Amino acid sequence: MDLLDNLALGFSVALSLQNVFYCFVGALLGTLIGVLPGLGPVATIAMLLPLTFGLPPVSALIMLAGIYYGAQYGGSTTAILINLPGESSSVVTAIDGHQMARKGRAGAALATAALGSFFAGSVATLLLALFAPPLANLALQFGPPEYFSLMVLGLIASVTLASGSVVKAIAMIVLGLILGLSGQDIYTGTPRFTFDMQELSDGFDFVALAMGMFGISEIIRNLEDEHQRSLVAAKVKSLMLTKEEFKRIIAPVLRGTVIGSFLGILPGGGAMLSSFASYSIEKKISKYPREFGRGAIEGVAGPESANNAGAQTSFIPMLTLGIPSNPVMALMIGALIIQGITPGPNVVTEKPDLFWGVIASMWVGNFMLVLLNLPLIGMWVRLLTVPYHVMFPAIIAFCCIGVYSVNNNTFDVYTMALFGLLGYALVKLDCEPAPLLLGFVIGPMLEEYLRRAMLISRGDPTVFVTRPISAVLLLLALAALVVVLLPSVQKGREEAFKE
Amino acid sequence: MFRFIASVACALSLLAALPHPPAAAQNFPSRAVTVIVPFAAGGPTDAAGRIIARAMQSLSGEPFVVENVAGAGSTIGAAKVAHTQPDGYTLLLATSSAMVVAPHLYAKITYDGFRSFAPIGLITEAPFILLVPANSRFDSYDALVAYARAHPGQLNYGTPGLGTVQHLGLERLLEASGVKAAHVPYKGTAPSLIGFLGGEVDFIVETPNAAMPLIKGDRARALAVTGPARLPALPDVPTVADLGVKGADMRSWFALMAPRDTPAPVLATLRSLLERSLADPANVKALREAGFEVATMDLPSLHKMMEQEYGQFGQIIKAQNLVIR
Repeated sequence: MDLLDNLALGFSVALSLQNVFYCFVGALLGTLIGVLPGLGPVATIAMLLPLTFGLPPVSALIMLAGIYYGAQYGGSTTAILINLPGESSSVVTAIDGHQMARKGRAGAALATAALGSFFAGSVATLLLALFAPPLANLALQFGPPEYFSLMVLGLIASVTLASGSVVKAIAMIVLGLILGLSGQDIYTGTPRFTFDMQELSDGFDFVALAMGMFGISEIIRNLEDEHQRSLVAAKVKSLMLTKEEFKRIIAPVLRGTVIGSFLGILPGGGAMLSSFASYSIEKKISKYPREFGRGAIEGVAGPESANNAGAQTSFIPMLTLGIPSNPVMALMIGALIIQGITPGPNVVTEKPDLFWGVIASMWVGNFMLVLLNLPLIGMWVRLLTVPYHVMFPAIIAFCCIGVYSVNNNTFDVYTMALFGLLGYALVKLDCEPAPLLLGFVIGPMLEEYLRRAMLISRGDPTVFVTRPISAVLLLLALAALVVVLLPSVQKGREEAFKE
Repeated sequence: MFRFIASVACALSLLAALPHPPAAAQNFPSRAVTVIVPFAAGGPTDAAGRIIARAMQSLSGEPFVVENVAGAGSTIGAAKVAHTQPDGYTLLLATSSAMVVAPHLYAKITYDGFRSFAPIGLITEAPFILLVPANSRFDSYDALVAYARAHPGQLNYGTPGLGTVQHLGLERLLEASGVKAAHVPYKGTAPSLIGFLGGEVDFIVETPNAAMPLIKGDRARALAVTGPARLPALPDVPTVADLGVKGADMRSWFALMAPRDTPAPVLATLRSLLERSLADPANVKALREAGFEVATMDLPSLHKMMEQEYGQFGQIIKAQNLVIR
């Protein structure tokens, strides 16, 4: 029973009084800072990283893990309450979560996010403990052709993110793809659509784009009808889930956990896709597809669980190979390096207390988060009753700080303002920003993997169908395309028959 | 003589704690000094920058604050320092890519290469290690070259990006060995390592801090070291010169830089602070744990090294027509 011994070792480390304390402090600070609009996990961890320098390595990593979960949950909180996703995974949460908040169900949305995340986090942690090394090797099987096919699937599925017109959704995805083209081409170095601005050589910043499209445009729209909005806020009733709501979230949470756990392992953007994938699936199989985009609780439960499971399993490449799969993991590795630990394939055998301590602390951290946040939900919801003319200047100020802190660059703040105006115009045209954001995120990866696959195959396009994983993904994409197009085809036929 | 000036400058900077008429150099530093790290927080360069900043802070008594200004292959941070007030309060943790590569690579760069900066001192220097996957058919550099010669253009090598030191250095090494291979650029070190471990490319070069864990974990095999001497940790791995390839050394280095017109006494104070920081065994240990061996160099040698690399990288970039307009 190696696993039990290892877990016992892990928990004996994670549950020492000192480490529980650091885990708690980390989760608390992470939540408090992450809840400020625009400060997602990356910014929060970067900001709080120096706090951990003086701690012993295990405590430092445990505290950082706490900060990570806290910040991530804080990000979902702002997405739900004020429609401000601070990172790509909470974009999806904002769609239905914020609509729930508008209907006075902010408390239920927050509770769903907390409970779903806890469940998914627990399962993914167990998965990590059981299968980390083989899963890491599996992830390495994913080469450029597989990633390309996965991105194609993601792009097609993203059409389902929109609750309105399919044509407008496709237009938004394409606009997002175009925005994603800006920046230096990684294969030739040629600057594309940079307008001779050095700041654009890495393209538009995601945080600036997302905060502008969602947050700033939402503020402008709210200022249009403040009267109406305060009425919405006044309706806040029960903070907890009703029995019926609870029943409705069970299946989405389970599905989200499975999707997130697997996509999270892939270092090349898999974790980011997991919340989108979960949302698309929930919307397709839901008994209440009409509610999606108008406050469907499944649209919060599934993606939040997927997101958290993915966040957990994205530790696998870092812990087993020493290679970060996303900026958050890069920060964690930085913290380890400062602690004098070089992450690599040998961490499991050389520092078992660290490896298993961190795994156990993930579970402790998730548990802490639920303990911490269920009581806080009432407080967050009460924030909504703050008069809007007091709240919106504060939100704008925090958005600016948050965006600035990503690269310490004022350019990003202007970018956010610009996209705020664009986002407002799009809202007026009944176009939804979520598909645009997904296009923006997926576009550059789609290109990167396509060209790398072609480069390695020396221009032979058959690699996409001769490699089995890639072929399966492309078939799924084809199936998704049919599913997406079917309703509109049917509608078209129905209309044809009417005449 | 230098030490004397430096210690005088230090003594003066201690005196500066007393109220004093404003004479910039004498009471330097009298407020927080910003060290710009031109990479995102959390990476290895950032770790080194923070260790140095912490050390200089404790010696000088004034805060040395790390500010991460990432982007555009570290040229945004470098440009920011090049154009700042040359008063010694804004410093750059410079890597070779910003100093000796970027000026040739980017036609529209706003600073004049290493001529825009006054060096304070070298911090660390490391050779690269040429790696193949552990299950690779190549067990020596000669075998790799022989295969590449028999099968022109079939092998792939990965790098963290176009125009990185790894890319240009490998091009030079391959040219010196008389073979060609296809370049597969990735978006940074981590993705390039994942691609390497996934078998997408046949070989890469990486610094010891990234390479050693992979070698120890039996994920990669070292075929050559691109420095002047073998590494103590890898005594059996030959240098490229041992293999008969001349003029193909490549290294990664960091140095602390100030803007060019920084007053000499301020530079002297900073040099002394850096020198004393790097002489402290605690800092040497911290840097080693972060993957960097402290390397110091007198200023003329540093200048010579930079000038030489500046010329070499310029040549490769021109020969390969890599200039980005």
